[in-house]
Order: sequence, then structure tokens, then C-alpha cells
Amino acid sequence: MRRLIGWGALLLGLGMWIGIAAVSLPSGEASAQAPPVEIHRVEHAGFTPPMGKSRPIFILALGSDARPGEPVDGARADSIHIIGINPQQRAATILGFPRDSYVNVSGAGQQRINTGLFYGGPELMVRTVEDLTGIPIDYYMLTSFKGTIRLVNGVGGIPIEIEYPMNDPDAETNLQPGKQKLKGFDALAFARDRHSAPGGDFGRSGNQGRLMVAALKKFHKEFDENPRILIRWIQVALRDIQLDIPLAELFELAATATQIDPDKVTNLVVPGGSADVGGASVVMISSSAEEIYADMRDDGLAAG
Amino acid sequence: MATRRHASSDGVNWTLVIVPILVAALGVGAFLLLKKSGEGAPGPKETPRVAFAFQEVNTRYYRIEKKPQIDQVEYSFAEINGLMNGFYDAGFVNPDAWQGGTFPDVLGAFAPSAAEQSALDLAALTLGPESAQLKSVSPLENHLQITVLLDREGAPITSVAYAQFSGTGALKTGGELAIAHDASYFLRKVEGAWRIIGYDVDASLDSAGATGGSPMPEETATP
Repeated sequence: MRRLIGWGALLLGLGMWIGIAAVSLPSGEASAQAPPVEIHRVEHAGFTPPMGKSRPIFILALGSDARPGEPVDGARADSIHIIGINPQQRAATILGFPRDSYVNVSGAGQQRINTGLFYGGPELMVRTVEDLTGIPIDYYMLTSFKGTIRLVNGVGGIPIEIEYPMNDPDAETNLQPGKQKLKGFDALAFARDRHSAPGGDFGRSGNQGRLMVAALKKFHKEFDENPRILIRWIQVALRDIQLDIPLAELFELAATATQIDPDKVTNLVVPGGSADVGGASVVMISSSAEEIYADMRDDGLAAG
Repeated sequence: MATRRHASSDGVNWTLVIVPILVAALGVGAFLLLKKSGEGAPGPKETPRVAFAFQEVNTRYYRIEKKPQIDQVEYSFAEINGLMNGFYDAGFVNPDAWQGGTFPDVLGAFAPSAAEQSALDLAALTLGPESAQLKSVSPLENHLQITVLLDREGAPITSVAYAQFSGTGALKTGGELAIAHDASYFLRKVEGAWRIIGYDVDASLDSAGATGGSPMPEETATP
């Protein structure tokens, strides 16, 4: 009996040990790892400020032919473009008007379109273009020959493909075909040359648009490398561009530009042909331009 | 010659009684000790979590006309720096802020004009839904570049903040998640406080070296 009690106590002790061990250690079921997950996600998101508008943005870009000593906003407009921007589609259209386009200049009658700047500054140019196209202009930008040179030099030159030999004594171009980085003087010459460009004034206007697209490409490339340059470009622009865009909105516009795909920018010139009015050579815009205006009024974009 | 003692048929062999009781007592004691240390009773104190802050911060301003109002410029740098630190702490580093993938503290960094879109882009702006798979995130290299544009009076008016963040997430099921986030934020003052009005973000999450056996198909998280 005593032996039985002793063995019983020993077994009880062993049993308690085993039980305690079983409770203390993690259970076999709980310690098995859950199957691993695989995660492979790459994502891009971009959003630019709506600039308070639910419709496309339209900017009138003007280049004055003011000579030294002449007021920039009191000379003639050598370069006239409407830039339509559709942020939702990340696309834009540049529509150029030859400087000799014969249109109604508000308060001055039928004139070459470039005289609007002379008669009433950029504000009259805005009214003239709005009357002609029905496109509501949100902002204007105005620069000069000197401003163009400083702008281009300020951003370190603009790479562009020269499509044909350009050698115009009036514009002082001396460019060979191929990819080139145009510094300020050559960029201005490129934009002014109408004798080398096929189509004369139409070709020149087209080249001005190409220069803007090339600048946008360079802006994108630099922004991708260092986003800080967005503000640097604004600083450069403000030195040499007269504009009616509040500074904060200019920043938003520049931010919007980071989202516009340069390959989705359509560069157009209004269709038309040369004519003679009272001995003066002018450009008559074709009626088919109305379709382009309607297209741009709709979503800021026109088909190429 | 030693005489072996035998249990007497007249008394209890106490050895056979006491030893098992001692063994049992030792077992109970050990269990209690293990239990207490497992439950964290008097051990070392937990150190409070340190909020995330960018290791390298580079600041610069650009002016247009007048000289900068330096105190305002410095204040703007500090405020934007704090905004970005809080953004990435809540969006990537602090599990308590993930809130089931809703990241409410992150959304507060955006201006009302960007609120709607930022909520739609939350997965790109933060850890996204994968936060539910993570125990923690350890930041690796991270850099912040703040550029401020001054208005014609020399006061800060707009800013671009460029943030590069990388980290390693510890997955709940074992293994690690490589996190890379490269983003530009456009900011301006909204009612006196700097807020994000736009952004351009590239995000990448990639699990690496998950432990255990093959994953069951229904448990695989796919992009």
C-alpha cells in the first residue's frame, strides 16, 4: 500500500510536469506559419490643380517685334498662338496665326492681325482673337526678341530637330539639318525665319509652335530629373515674359504642364492663302478654320 | 559495512512520497515564472516610438524681385518639412496611423481642391491596402528637397517638395516588403497653412524572401 502511494505520487508529479509543459509551449497548430503573401505593385498617380476651371485652359502666346527702344506691348505681334490645354486628357493644341492674317481688329477695322498689339496692346490682341475664333482666352503671355533670347539661354538652350537647311539673312539663321541644341540667338532666328521655311509665313508659324513643343519636352526631362526646376523655370519666365496670370496660378499652370504629354501636343497653323489687299500682301484665313476653332472650343484640342 | 536501509513494513517510505511532490512543485514554480515573464510583468520598460523624419532635407528659394523675407522663408521651410514628415510617418511608418488602409492623417495634408482626387489615389500616395499585410516598416534611405517661390514682395507663395522614401516592411506572414516611393508635391498656402494642391507620384511595393511553403492561391495578393 505504501509502495502504491509512493508510485502514485511519482506519477502525479510526472503528470503535472507533462501537463505544464504542454500548456507552456506553443501549440503545434498555432506555431505553423501562415502561407506567405506575394506583393508586386507598381503605381503612378498625378494630379494638377484644376485652376478653378472645369473647362480647358486657353492662353494667347504673343511675340512682339519691338526693336530696341520700342515698347514691347506697343509694337506688332510677330508670333501669335492660341495654346489650348486639356488637363484631364493630358494633351494640348497649339494653333498659330500668320502675322499677316487679315482679320477684324476691334476698333481698327480690317487689318493684319499683328497690328492689334500696336493699336491696343495684348488686351486688344486677346479681344481680336476671341472675336475671330470664339475661343475664350484665359491668359496672355507676351515677350520680345530680347526676351526670347534670354528665356532660351535661361533654361540652357532648347534641343530641336532642324528639318531642312535654314539660311535667311533677314532672320540671321544659319542652321543645318539634324538634332541641335539652340541657344537664345539661334532659337530666335529659327522662330523668325520665313524664307527657309516651306510655306513662308505658315511654315514660320509652324516652326514657332515646334519650338514651344521642344521647350515642353526639355521641361519634362528636367523636371523628371529634378522637380525643383519647375520653380527655376517660372523664375526665368517671369524675368522676360509679360503676363496677366497671377503668380500662384502661374505655378499651377506650370504644375499642369508637368502632366501634359509632349507627344500629345498638336501643333497647327490656321489654313489659308496669300492675297493682295490694296497692294499689301496679306494672308486670308480659310473658312475651314472654323472647324478647328469649334474643335478647340469644345475640349481645348484640335485634330492634327 | 554499510547497511542498506529498507523500507520498513511498519512505516511510510517518505522518499517515494516527497520526491514526486518536489518534482511537481518545481514544475508549477517554473510554469508560473515562465508565464510571468511572457506577460511582460516587471521587465524592461518599452521605449516610446520615434516619429519618422527625413534624414536629409535640402531647401532653396527662388525670388523674383525684392529680397526674401527670411523669417517667413525659414518658417515655410520648417512647416513644409513638418508636413512631409507627418505625411510619411502616417502613410508608411506608423502602423497606428494606417487605420485599416484609410490613412486619415495623410488626407489632412491636402488642400480641399485636391481632397477628392487624393482619396482616389491613396494607394499610390501611401502603403495602400498592403498595409494590412504588414507588422511594421523600417525606413531606409530618404531625402526631402523643398523649393519655395517667393512673390514680388519676397514672401513665400508656392512650393515644390520632392520626397524620396525607401523602407522595408515586415510582413505578418513572414518575409519582407521592399518599399520605394518617389514623389513631387506642389504646395501653396491655404488659409495660412501649407497644403498639397497637386502631385506626381511613383510607388513600388515588392515582396522578397517570403518564408514558409508555397502560398495558397487565395492568399496571394496581386497588383
